[in-house]
Amino acid sequence: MNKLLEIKDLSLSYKINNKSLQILKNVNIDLNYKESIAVIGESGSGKTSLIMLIAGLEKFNSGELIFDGNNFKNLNEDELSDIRRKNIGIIFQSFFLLPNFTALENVNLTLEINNINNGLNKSKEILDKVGLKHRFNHYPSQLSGGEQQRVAIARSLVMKPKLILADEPTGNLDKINSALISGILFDIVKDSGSSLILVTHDTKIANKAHKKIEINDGKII
Amino acid sequence: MEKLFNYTDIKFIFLFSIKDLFRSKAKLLSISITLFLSLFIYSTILTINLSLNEELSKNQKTLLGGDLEIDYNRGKADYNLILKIKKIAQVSEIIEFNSMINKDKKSIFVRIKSIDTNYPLYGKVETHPKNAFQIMKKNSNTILLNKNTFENLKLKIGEKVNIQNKNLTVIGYLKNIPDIGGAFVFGDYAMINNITLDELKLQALGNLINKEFKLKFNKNIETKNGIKLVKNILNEDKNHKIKIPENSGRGLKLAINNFIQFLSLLSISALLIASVGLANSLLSYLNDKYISIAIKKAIGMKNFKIKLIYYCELFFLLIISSLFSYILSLFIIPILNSFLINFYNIQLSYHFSLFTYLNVFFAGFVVFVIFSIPTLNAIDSIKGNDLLKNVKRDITFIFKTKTNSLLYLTSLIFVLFISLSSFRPIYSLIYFISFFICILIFYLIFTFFLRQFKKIYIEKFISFKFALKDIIKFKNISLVVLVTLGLGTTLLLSLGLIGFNLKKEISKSIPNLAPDYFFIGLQNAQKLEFINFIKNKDSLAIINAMPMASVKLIKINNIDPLNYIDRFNESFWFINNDRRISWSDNPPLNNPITKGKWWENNQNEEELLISLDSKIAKDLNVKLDDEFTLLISGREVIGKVVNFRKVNYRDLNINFAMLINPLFAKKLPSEILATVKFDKEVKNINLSNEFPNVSFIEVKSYLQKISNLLNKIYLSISLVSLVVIFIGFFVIVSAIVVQGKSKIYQNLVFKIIGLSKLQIIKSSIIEFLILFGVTIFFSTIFSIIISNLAIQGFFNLSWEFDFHTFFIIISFIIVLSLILIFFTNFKYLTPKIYPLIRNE
Repeated sequence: MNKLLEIKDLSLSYKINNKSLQILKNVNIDLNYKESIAVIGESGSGKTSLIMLIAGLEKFNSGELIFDGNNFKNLNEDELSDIRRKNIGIIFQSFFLLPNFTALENVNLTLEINNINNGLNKSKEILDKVGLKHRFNHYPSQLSGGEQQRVAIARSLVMKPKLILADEPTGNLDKINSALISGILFDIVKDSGSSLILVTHDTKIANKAHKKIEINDGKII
Repeated sequence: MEKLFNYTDIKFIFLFSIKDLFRSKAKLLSISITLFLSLFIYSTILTINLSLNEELSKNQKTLLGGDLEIDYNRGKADYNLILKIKKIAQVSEIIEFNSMINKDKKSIFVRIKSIDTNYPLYGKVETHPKNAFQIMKKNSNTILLNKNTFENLKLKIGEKVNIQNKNLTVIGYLKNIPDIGGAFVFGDYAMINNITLDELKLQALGNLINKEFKLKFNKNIETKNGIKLVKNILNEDKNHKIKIPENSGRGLKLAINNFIQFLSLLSISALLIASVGLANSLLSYLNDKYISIAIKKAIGMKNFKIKLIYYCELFFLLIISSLFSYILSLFIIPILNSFLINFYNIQLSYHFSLFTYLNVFFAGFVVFVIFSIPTLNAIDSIKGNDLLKNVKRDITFIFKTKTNSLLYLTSLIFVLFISLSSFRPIYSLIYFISFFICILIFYLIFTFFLRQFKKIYIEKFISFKFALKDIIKFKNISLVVLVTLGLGTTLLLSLGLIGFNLKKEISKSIPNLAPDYFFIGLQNAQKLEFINFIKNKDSLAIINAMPMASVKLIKINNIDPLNYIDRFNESFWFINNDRRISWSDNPPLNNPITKGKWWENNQNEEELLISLDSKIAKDLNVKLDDEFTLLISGREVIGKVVNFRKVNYRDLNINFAMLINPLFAKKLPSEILATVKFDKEVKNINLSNEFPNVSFIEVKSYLQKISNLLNKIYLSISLVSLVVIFIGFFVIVSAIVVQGKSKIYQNLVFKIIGLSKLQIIKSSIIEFLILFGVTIFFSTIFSIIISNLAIQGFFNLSWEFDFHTFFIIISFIIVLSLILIFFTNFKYLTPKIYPLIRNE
């Protein structure tokens, strides 16, 4: 079985003021192990919602989402958390680092909640890989945007998850930092053998992925 | 700085703060309600205190019954001197005494006031029917009873009651008498005229006769001059004591002052604790405003101006809350009046007092300073570039040296102001010092445990690991939660224990060894006859009879104690009037000797030896071998204090504050004081035929009277406590909500990286339990000390710890907090938070 992720006819809609708002409509995606897909599309087209569904952070209305043999339709919130903790790393445009934790503590947190003890060396190693050897004990507020995103990448990869979900990871960064971050991301994903779904506006970055899909108005075109 | 005083800037800050206040009114609601409630209790207590004291001052002469009172107690008055006084004042002669009033088989112990035609000199007597007082004044062998006695004896107007073997016609009942400053406040009472009194021919000591003359100076004589003139006239007379209006209602004033001070300290504690809750709410409010503040900074607004906007908003809230709470507190008086009119026939007046309002405002201002300064300092930590960095940090209290000095100074002035203006400044100061020591100890406990937590390394139990991590990482919030929980729990436990001890006293059963009845007024010759009378009713009855004589302490070490003992001294009663004394060969079993030795049998009969209650000795600073000059049967005798006894008046047995050696007492005229404990139930004792001069008190009904009074106190404390408890809970809730809110972002990150809901909630609950576990022990100790001081210090009642109350309160706090934690966390773990991911 080569498929890590199978998405079939996936739909998502919200009810706002008793009116149904269609976010995603009949989305179909297949992702193989060690494969990368770039998702592009206009703002509000449903890219982040797709990432949320794959991460198990939101429930879809219809269709199927099978991740590593687990049908998300049949799983409850805690089971989805369990899968996310062990197999999915997420990187957001807004980094989502804990402000009261240092760079090293932020990365190590993922190992700690997976009960991996003495993981500090692993955390240091991955921070070193993303070029933050000199920033271990710095708090997010003491880091630049690019550095914070590198901590977020290190955090998502330290567990060597099967899937990395990156939602516009360079959206808040300048051109130089964007190139640097995307380079690091693709290199480490390749090294760790993870698969990657990357949402981006940047066609140059999108071109680095194995596949490219475009979403418009909730549909893949 | 100069820009601050620029008119445009001031106008901007003023208008902006008003706009922001209206925009954020929902968020500021909790701050407004807490501020209002805490100030409202304080205002109410101040208003009641002012009204009561004004009422007492205004009616001083009415309460005393004259411009001056000459008290002869049991002594003989020199009527030649009284005749001289009558030239400068109108004089009313009043004699008070105790007696049984009998109707059929029922008897009630009352204090009877015998009056002359001049009574009352001030105020008026209200009766039913309206003309009953005038009829009683003119007709001998008539009596007016208080309503309670009238109803308890099931009397009808015109029926007869028996007093001291004499039948008197009941003309009606008394609704109100003006001079309630004395012993008439709580017990049953009656009124007769002086012709009726003469016919009763009272002699017994047990009647506790008190003779007094009330004076109303002639219009051309000023009270001050009149007092001087009377003192001159009575210069040679040693038997009298002069009472002036300022000293009227001493007992009443003492009770009111004690009670008001207790309630004031309670309300100030509520205020101070509320300030911690307010700080939490304000911090949470500022955290909500984080982006708004960051934007203001990004567009160039200075830190100082932003803070000033929030200070202005809070200041407006303070003015509105303090005004509103004070004005509303004035309306409490009419409600209170409806109770007072029923119980004491008192109507309090009320008016706006600028001083009282300023007092309330000042209290509010202190709360404002305590909660707003370190909280608004947190604005300094918000940076404009946070917007660019996508960093949302949780702001926390910032304590700076400069602002801290202001905080300490304001608190110090406040504490000194409240303490020095209180009835017992030392008590208040000790209370405040203890309060701040409480906070300091909770702070030190937290610092100690924080250090220990840092050393703990846990491999498994993720939730526990994260709970410890949270305490360490959010140490400022954790500190506030711990101090808040500590203070809140201490407050609730203290009130719980105070309530329990008051309830215990109310429902106290009669001590096992306590007698059923006290009999007073028995003559020595009647002793055997009385014993037979009792034994006929119940052969197994235990009778205890002791001799009793009347003396007056006039000097301690050759100095009149009234010259140096304050009238608010707890043992003032001992020196104020005649005392009954007794004598015994052996020390009483229920009065252990604490110091000195009991007298030997080979005493010298001329030598007077005294055994004294150790509490009185302490209050009056009496040492062993000190000399008491006693007035015994008109003769001054010097005696030596040879031992102190611990007298427990609560055992309801015969207890004398002063005992003397029996050999000396041999020659004294005396009566018998007896107690009887029946083996079987004996109902309706009536002595009107066999012993018409003997009065008796049923212990059960005496305790009932105390219970009724304590019930009223308990009700008042419960009402104040209810509001304080609400504040205590608000503070705990606010701490938990702040803790919960500060973790929205963290929980979101935990969720993203795969921690389950249950693990997140579990970690918050464990965090609470660790913090609460640390506080319980110290809260319990503090509450034991506080409730003990309140019960023993203020109410003079016995204190004991009640595990049941403790368990209920602690469980209640734990359950309530856990529910709150669960819901707070649950709320922030629902998909509603996902818009955060989209930066919405």
